[in-house]
Amino acid sequence: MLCKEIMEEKKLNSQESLELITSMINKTKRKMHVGQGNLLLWWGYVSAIVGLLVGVSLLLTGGNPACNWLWFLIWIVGGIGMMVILRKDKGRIEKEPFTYVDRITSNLWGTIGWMFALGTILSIAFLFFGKDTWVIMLVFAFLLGGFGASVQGFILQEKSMVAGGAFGLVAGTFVLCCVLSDIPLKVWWIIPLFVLCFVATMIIPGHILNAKAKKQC
Amino acid sequence: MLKELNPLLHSQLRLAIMSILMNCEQASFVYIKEQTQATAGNLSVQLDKLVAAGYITVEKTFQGKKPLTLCSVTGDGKQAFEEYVNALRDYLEVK
Repeated sequence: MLCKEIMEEKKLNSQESLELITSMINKTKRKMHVGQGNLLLWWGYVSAIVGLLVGVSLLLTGGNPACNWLWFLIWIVGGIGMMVILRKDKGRIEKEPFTYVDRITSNLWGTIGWMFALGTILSIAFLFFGKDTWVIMLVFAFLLGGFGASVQGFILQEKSMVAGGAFGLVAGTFVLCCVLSDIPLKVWWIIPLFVLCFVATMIIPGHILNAKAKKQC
Repeated sequence: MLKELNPLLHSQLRLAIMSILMNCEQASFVYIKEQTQATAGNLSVQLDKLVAAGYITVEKTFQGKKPLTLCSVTGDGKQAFEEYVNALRDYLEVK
């Protein structure tokens, strides 16, 4: 076998060249790695738990708006955890190639992250002028989370992610319609919908990805 | 008339390196060495030749305290590889 030899600077005939190219492409075909779904799981669980925490606090305090500051826990806890996961994952580059799929996925979620950051900054800025625009973050959470999951699902050919993402997009569009038509977002339904959305877009696909990777490795 | 096969790519190890890099965006020296089962010395020499031809770029960085060498194919490299594969196809069709 060509690939089992220690390769010298040997000249090849055309047939051997093609065999070598095919063999190298097959060897470097993208394989799943254990923990592939960890980032999804992390953001999914953090968002769902913080969502529940906000919902319970609002119910217990009779709807005190100060409880909404708890949403910032998603940024703080999620961000710290993400840095830990990415640092652990960095060692992978020596053992596995960085593929176009990795690049697209990382840029996709990076862009979505920046959109959330921009939404947060603008909402804080509007707050200084007495305007409450925080609802945009809720709409972003549904729509951008759903969009990201769907696109990543298509790239990875993971149906559960496409389906979860589609759920997020539908829920997000519904919430946006409610906002635009002045239908109040009541805690009793918006929080369960928020949690359900993260379960569908991130938690279930994350577990499925990890299980598949474990099976493959 | 059949095109001449690019002599720089028409060698076993250099072709293997290019095939790996065409299939991914970036791969480490350690990964390429494992896949090709070449010796570190030979691999370095062949990588240098590909760098000199402008077919690949080599980025030397650190992962913690460990040195990390990352290789990626350039636009010229992609074009040369595609031309090489097309020329190979012509050769095989003539046969």
